[in-house]
Amino acid sequence: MISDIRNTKANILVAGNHVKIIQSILDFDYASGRETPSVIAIISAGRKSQKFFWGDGETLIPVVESVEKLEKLEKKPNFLLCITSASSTPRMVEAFFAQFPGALGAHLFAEGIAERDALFLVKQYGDRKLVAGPSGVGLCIPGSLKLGAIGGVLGERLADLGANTGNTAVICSSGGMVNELMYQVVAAGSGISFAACYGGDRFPITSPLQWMLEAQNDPQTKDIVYFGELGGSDEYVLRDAIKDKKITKPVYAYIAGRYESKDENIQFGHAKALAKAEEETASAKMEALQEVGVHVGETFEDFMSSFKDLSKEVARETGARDWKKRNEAIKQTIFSAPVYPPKSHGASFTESILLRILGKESVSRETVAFADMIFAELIDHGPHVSGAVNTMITTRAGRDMSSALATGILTVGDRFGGAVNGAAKVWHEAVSREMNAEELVNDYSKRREYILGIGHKKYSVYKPDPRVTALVAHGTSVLRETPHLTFAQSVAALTSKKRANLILNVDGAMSALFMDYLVEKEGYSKLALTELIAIEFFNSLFLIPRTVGFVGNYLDQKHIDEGLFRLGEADSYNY
Amino acid sequence: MARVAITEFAAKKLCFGDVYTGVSVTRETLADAVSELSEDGTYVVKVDAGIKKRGKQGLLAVNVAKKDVSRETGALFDKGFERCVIEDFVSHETQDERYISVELIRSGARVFHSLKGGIEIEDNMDSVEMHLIPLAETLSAIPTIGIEGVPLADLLQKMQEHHFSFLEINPYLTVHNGFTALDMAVEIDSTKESKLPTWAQEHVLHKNAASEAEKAVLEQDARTQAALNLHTLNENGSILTLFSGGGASLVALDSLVSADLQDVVVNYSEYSGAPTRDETEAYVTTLLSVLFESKAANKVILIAGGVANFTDVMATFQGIVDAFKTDIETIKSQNIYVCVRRGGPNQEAGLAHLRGFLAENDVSHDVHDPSLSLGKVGELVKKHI
Repeated sequence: MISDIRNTKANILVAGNHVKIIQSILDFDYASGRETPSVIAIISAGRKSQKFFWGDGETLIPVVESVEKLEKLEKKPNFLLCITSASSTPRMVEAFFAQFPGALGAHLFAEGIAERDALFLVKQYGDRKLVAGPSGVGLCIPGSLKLGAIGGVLGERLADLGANTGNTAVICSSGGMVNELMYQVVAAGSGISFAACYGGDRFPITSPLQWMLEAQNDPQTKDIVYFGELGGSDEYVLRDAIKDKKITKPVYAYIAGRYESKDENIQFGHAKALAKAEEETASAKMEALQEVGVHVGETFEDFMSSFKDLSKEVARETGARDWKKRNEAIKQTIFSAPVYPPKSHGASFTESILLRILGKESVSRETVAFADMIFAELIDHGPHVSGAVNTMITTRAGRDMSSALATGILTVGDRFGGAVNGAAKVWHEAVSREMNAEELVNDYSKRREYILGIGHKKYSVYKPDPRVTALVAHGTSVLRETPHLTFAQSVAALTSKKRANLILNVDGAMSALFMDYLVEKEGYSKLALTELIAIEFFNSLFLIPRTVGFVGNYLDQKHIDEGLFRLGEADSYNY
Repeated sequence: MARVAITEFAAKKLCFGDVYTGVSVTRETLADAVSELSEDGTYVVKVDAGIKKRGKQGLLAVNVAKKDVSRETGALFDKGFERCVIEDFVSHETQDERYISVELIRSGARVFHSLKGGIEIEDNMDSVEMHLIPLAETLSAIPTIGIEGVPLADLLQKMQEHHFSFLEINPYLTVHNGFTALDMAVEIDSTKESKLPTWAQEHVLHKNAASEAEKAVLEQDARTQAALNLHTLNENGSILTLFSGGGASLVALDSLVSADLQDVVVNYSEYSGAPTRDETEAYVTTLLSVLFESKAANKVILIAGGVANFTDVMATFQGIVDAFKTDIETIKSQNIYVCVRRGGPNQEAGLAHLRGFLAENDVSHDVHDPSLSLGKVGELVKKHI
């Protein structure tokens, strides 16, 4: 499996946000020569992307709320790095492998995962996936994969692991010691084929024996360095595997925890590190391994000096970058913004607006024409509306254009002008869920809520809104299909039977039609529309033209200048 | 985390509910408990502190009449135990005693069973049969094997419900009203301790703090996200250890063993999970008090750890220096040598800070970064013993 991973491009999903670990993975990837980071997404809350260093530059990694929301990513993850709490880790692992059954493995960082949860994961994935942990620091295949804090999180050693591969496999219980051993292997002139930290818990998902067999079956591995601890009986399983010739490569081993206490109950750092019986002591296990020909270090120093016998071949990863570490003077930037290509073909004002607000390189003529129509219709709607009134009052108070415009714009919200986005949400959700109009209307009337996009103060079935009529006529003549508009109209057909003025209003019509244009003419998916609604995109269709209107309100008032406005005493009810 | 024993009372109550009629008593509740015992019954009184082979150590009394229960139990309390359990005495033949244990292992549940249970079980190992309940059956608590007279599925179900990792009933009877557990021991998965019923959480047998210092560290540990511990090995030893957790602590301790210093190690102590400067100071001050009390002639403080991934070496070393500062006169008068090997974030600054402080105060020291092998600390320390 290890060599399969070398031949597959690692795409890691990180559950939980641990900036230092993620950054260390990116540094490793960068040194290895990858074009893009192996971390393709982070599951976390409160943001949609997070910035990391990519070499000496920067990159944004998408952040999603849950495994299920990953479907919008182009790449599919094949590894999970789970840095969530002990109690949520099992659920996360299950959700991940359910969603991505072809994924290769995972690392579970949490300490204190319950024994039964670990056993459940052993049952589900023990034979099928490579899972490092619970606890420990993960799995590293130099040049290919850094899944966890393994190899450290700082400095040049990361770049070295990214760029250089060798022939020694390091298999270790302890997170701190695996880094130490990897360093010592390299210091002895050898290189790492892969390093796995199976963790100090009682039930590692992939067992020490399984990791050893991975090393045995990995053509690149020539020698195996093994570090275990007192407690448990894994080393006897290893001994048997060596005796049965299932493992034939040279093994260099150390079992830590040789302090022998009169008090038999010392629980050392790791959960498993407690010798309840003679055969669980470090010395008994060392002896057992020695008997089958393992090079066992009597002392830790002996163990270290045995590394001089390790295979000395080190190869540089093809395409590896000559990059050691980031200059410490480089600071993270504060904002991130896309770069749009300069416009060279003399685009119109409306086209330029759409290119900018949709963040696209081109927009169809039809969509531009429709937007042009919307913008023209929405510039002004008379001096009586909230925004215009505010702008006029501010102007008459002697303020400047920016202030007057700002007060006008600040009135835009769900009640005035800002219903475009809300209406888009109503239509889009209903169409996505394949609801029928009746359901929606009943639903809203049960909740006693207004349907955004429906209803007008002035216009009714008897006196249709000419702007809506014009928009609908234009849209339906251009588009082949108008699912959003059709739905909106069928809702209006029901509501206007109850009250004559509950017709499709201009917010409702333009939001429905604009979505239909985006789908048919610009290739937007359902998910992409959901994203636009989530960031309040559709309100821009009102704000952009109406800004012009407010500027007009300001200019009018400046021309006339009737002096400071004040309500008369009779204009307010004082209670 | 690890496995931790619970009292026999809790083990039986959790497994058998109201069928189990034993009462758990402390010295304070003894009189009330005895007054509620039925007049004509006879009782078993046992120390309930997770100790094995109580019979052989005189930590129980059997066939006790009600009028004698107070005296017999009081005698057990006098031996220094906090908790006893009083149960109905079940008269039976030794030959009816059976043995069973169930332990969670990687491949499922390992069951040991013998028809020759009782206090001599270790002499009857030939009679012990091993059965393996496969993992899937263990996790669903629906075993396909059965053992005559043993409610195996019920036991597995209770083990699952209360996160038992190990259960031993020795002996049990099948001749008396069905399955009757006489003596029972249970270890639970400590990560799920908080999921026990509230009353049972009081019955988790944590290691008792043997000294004031150990008690202080337990309290400090409870108040932080980090992990702090102190395990006193030899209060008159020479070497105070301050390790930073995980496998590296074991390797550093091994290095002392290799240097033949096993018997003069004062303690095994770990701080990990990035304690703050203040937390480190309080913790180190407590550890120092243990070393200061030691009657050993030569004294050493060994601060050793691997290369930390996240713990800020500067922050923890500032805490260490803060603690040293307060006690600097004692450190000097006891001529204590300080040996350091540590790496991690901010290691240069942290090591320099400690080195500077020790040099300024004429404390003999060796302060090393990870270029010194962890296995070499034993040799360095040995020169000063």
